Amino acid sequence: MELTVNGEKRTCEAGLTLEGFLKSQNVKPESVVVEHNGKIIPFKEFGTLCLQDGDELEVLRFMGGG
Amino acid sequence: MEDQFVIGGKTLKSRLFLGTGKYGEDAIIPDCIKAAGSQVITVAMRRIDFNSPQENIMQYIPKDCILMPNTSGARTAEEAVRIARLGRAAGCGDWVKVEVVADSKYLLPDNEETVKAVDTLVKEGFTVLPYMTPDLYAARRMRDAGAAAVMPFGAPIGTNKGLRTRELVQIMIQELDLPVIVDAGIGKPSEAAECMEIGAAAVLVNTAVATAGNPVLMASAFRKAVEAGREAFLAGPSAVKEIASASSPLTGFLRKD
Repeated sequence: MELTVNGEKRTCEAGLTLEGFLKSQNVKPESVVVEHNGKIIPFKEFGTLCLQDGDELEVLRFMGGG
Repeated sequence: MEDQFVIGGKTLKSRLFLGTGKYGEDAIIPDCIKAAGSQVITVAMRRIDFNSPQENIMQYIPKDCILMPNTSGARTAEEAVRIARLGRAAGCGDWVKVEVVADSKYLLPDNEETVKAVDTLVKEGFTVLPYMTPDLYAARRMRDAGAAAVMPFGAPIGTNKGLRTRELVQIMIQELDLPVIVDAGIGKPSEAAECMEIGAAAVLVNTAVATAGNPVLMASAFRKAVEAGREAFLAGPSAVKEIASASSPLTGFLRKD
């Protein structure tokens, strides 16, 4: 299936949960916040949210800033 | 003497807020925070880089600090609110530095959009500290909207020019019943002391420490300057005069007058 992640198209296997997708990208789920189709997903739902073809994800984390 | 500094219901010991951007090596940040004695630490929120997904600024920020995510990157109130919500979803408290900047040359904050963002975020329960262009009326609107403090700039971000907005900031300090925190432009400890001497509640420094030759030593210098400036303000600076006034007695010389 195809996802749009941080504005870029990415292909990944079908049936992944959000947590599964992040781990497949070597991203620690507890280190990020995610918007799924414009809605903020609570961390406790990462493991149960099944991604669908065409979904849009914004994956963000804290960076150095003033 | 008790010198309470309370923001958003929290009593703070340190009046030096520290940013975490622009360090040559992020690993130096814990030592800088320790040397600065800072409790309030700012961070930004950005899309992750899938090519280096392990980097995480949070590992360098002590757990007992108050994290204040900024909304940098926001060009409108709506974008600032979105970023603030994401920051809170990361589970690090409800403080936010609202920063709405649409001018990319001088990075001057847009007060009108900032007021709107403050209004929305306060209603959502955030402790809101808006970064702003120094202006008494805009600051009053932010106060009325529920801002916990206002943070006018001393000079444009990252310029290290010092307190160029002194007159306006001083008026804000005198006229507002709200903490005024000078954020941005402070390049040297003496300038931080100047802010504190005129009654600023705190200063927020990033570039001046992060890009110093020795960031840890500079963090320590800023700590002392902020403490010195605060004490001077509390002590009440003596009046400026045009004509000399002898510090030594003018009578009792060896010679006869």
